[in-house]
Amino acid sequence: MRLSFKIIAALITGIIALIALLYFQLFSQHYFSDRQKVNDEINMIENAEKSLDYQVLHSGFFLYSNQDEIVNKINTVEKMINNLQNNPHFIKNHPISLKNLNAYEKAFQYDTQAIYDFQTANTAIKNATMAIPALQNDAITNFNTNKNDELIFLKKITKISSSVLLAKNSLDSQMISGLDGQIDAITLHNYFKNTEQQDISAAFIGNLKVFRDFFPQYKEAIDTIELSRTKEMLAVLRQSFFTEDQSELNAVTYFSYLLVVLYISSLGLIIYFLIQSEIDARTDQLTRLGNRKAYEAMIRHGIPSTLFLFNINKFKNYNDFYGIASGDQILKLTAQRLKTLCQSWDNPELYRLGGDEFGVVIVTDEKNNPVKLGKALLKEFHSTPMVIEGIETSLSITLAISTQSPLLETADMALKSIKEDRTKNVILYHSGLNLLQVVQENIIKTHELHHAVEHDRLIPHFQPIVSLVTGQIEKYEALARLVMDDGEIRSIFGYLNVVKESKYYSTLTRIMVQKSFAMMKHLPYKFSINLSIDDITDHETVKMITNVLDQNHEMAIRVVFEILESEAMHDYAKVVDFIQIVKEYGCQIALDDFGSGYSNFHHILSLDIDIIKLDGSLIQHIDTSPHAFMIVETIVDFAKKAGKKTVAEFVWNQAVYDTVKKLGIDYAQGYYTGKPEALS
Amino acid sequence: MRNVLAYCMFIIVPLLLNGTEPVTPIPQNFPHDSAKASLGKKLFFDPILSKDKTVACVSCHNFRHGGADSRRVSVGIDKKVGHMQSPTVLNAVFNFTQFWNGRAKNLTDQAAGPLHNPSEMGMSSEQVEERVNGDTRYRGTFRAITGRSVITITDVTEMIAEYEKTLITPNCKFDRYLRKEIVLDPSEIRGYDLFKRLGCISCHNGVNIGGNSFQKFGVIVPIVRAANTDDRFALTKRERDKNVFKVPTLRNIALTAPYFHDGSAATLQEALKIMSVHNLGMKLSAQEINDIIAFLNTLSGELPMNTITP
Repeated sequence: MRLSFKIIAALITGIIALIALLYFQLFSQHYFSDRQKVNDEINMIENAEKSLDYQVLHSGFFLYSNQDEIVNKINTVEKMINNLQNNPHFIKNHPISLKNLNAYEKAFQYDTQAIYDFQTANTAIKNATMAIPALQNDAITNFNTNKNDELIFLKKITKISSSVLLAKNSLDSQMISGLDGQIDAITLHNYFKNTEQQDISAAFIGNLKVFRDFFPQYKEAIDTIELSRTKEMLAVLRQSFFTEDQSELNAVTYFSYLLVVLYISSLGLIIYFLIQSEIDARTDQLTRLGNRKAYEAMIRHGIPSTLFLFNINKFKNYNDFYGIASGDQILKLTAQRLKTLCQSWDNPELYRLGGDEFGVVIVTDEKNNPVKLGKALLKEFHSTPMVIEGIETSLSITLAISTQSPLLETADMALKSIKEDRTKNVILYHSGLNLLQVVQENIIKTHELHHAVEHDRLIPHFQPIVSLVTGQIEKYEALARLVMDDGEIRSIFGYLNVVKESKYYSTLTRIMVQKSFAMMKHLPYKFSINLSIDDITDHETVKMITNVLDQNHEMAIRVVFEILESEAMHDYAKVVDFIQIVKEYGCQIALDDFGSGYSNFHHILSLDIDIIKLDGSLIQHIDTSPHAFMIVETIVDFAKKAGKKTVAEFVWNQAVYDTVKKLGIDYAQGYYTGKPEALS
Repeated sequence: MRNVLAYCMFIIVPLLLNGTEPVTPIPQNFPHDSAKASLGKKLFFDPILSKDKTVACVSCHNFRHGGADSRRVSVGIDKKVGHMQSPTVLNAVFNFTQFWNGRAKNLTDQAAGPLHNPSEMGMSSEQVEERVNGDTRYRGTFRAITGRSVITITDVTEMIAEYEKTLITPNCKFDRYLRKEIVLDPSEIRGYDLFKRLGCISCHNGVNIGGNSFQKFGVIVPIVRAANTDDRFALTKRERDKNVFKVPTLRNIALTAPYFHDGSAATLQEALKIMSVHNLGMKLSAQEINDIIAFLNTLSGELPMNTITP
């Protein structure tokens, strides 16, 4: 699965979860606020209704009261009903409740009318209730109780008064059923002596008529209010609201479940991808073995282990020769074979640790000798040839074993050391190999070299080359020196292996060429500069050299290029070309270190060589070793016949000097004739 | 024993008369939208709202006469004479319903009434909308408030209603007495005392001293009902609702003569005499009338000039 796909998939799930979360939040927020609002409004209606009952009772009980309270409560209920009827959430999600609300509204309007009627009747009756006792009192003062007819009148109105008050307080219409007759009785009474008596009587009758006329309305209104079903209807409304609400709540709940599932699955997806990519990161895609990262993770667990580091010899050659696809095939087959072969070991773990390196880790086991195990495995491995593209290959493997931490580093160093020794194919790392120190030194040397190049501390020293005929200095060999920070001057020799591995190889050559030319410009001597095959085959370096020669044309005849023979002299044509180019300038060519490693007489003849420099290993003991003497004698003889000049290196004492002179060598070079030094 | 009884009476009677005053002062402010109110004010004074452009709201709700009409009944377009005395617009916001018979639930509904009444302003909704939409003075102001380019009839009545919320009269002498800021004169005190004792308070209570219930005019001694009276009966057709009206406010009553639904009482004295006989069944003495009028005079409050001048 591609990374971009994983990221997009995780991102999309995340975004969906986020959108769902936001939607849910919005939804639930709306849900709860709507719910709360409706609930609050129903509560307010309920409270207003209770309060309204109280106010009605209050106004019925007290002689006068502030009727605004009744009006306010009615307004509150109406307003809340209106709010609910206009609440979109309520309308949309609570159709049954809306129906109940409308029914409630109707009932409440009916009650409101009853309350208004009650207010009207209540006021009239209350005022009459107040007036009647007052009028009775007036009557007692204005009527003469000694007069029979006046006393009868007083008795009549007293009787009526008490029945009226009784009726009012008992709300019993029966109590005033005879009121009409009684009113008629006092209306017909016309023994009034004066206008006061007439007025009192009229007022009394008027108030009684109020009672008679308003009592039915009063009672009816009170009955209506009392029998009101609005509270039950409100309870029904509330119930229906909560029932309908419940289904909505379920939706919220399910949605929240969905959200949780979504959240967990997006989390799960990310975790899955993480695990996948972690596994991928630790797996070599080609062989499906654990890779370097997996190996390191295992090592961190810190179990004392033994590492078998297998390296396919000359794998690069296979790759070049058969193609990368076949190279991959080799790697796969090797992995399979190693896996099979180490199966019998104790819990082996196989890793691909580098391009052509495989590692098997086992827990260190005292009983089994790891070298024995390794040798047995290699023997088995090499016994069957590997068939690639139908071709049998003689694939071979080198094995380095280490039990010393850090396993991979030590095994790797051991592997490197064994690669230089072609006689063995198994090595067990031990501290005696001193490999670690070499590595450390290499690191230090690399730093020192870098430092010297950066600070222009690479300079040529010159060692005199003396004519064995005249005993005079005839020329000098430029040798690279490092000037250390403390002024110490070091030979480049100790750094050559580092130089070869570093990017400074061509830099070193350039510096040596340019500085040697600069220093020798105003001196009369010939001088030689060392070049390797790598220099000669490097286009840039050759160009640099010809540039310098172009600029110092007159110096060319004084220049000798010393070419070091090496195994890699396969780019023969380039070497020939180079020699031809510099010879056209008038330079001479010397073959360096002849008689060491790769010496080849053929080169002397086929390349246009002027000078042969005899290697120090032959010269060093020439005065005492007849063997060396014989070889040198042969070479010199050959050189003379081929018309080449000879230089003896490593002439370090009188005896050697005399010997080489006697042999007829042309020049001597060494500490005896002169150490390398800065020329001024 | 006698002392205990007297003590009980001392406790119970005031208790029955209710501990708190049944009248509350008018608040200093009533919440309203001032932009709408200021637009409503323009409309209130504008005769273009009537068919022949002779009548504005203010014509019958005259601030020189306490927001009411000094004529017995109102006169509309084409000098048409109505049959009801126009109630005061002052403190109308505190009334529980509007019109004498409470046929409008609120001020917005009320404002439409006179507009459409053929003998008042005589305009249909469409005509009102046409007039106002065609008037350059209004279009921008309305749009700024409603956000719509077309003005509707409800926009018009809403603005007028909003203006009417500003027409409240706080700080009358009696309110200041209720707030215990001042004391009343003895005659005024006696008047208020009578007002409660005689039972006027039963109907005239609350912030508006009225305007919170429907009551019958002529409870004890009936009053002849004119056939075209807009009483509750005109609305409900219930026999008992004949001559039942919304109790009018007594706020600024000294300024709003003549009185009653038909303007039949020219003065407060006259009104008091009629009211006491017909609704309380008693004749008031001259002293009682003077005292009650003294009390009623304390009910005239403040109205800022900039609210009531065009």
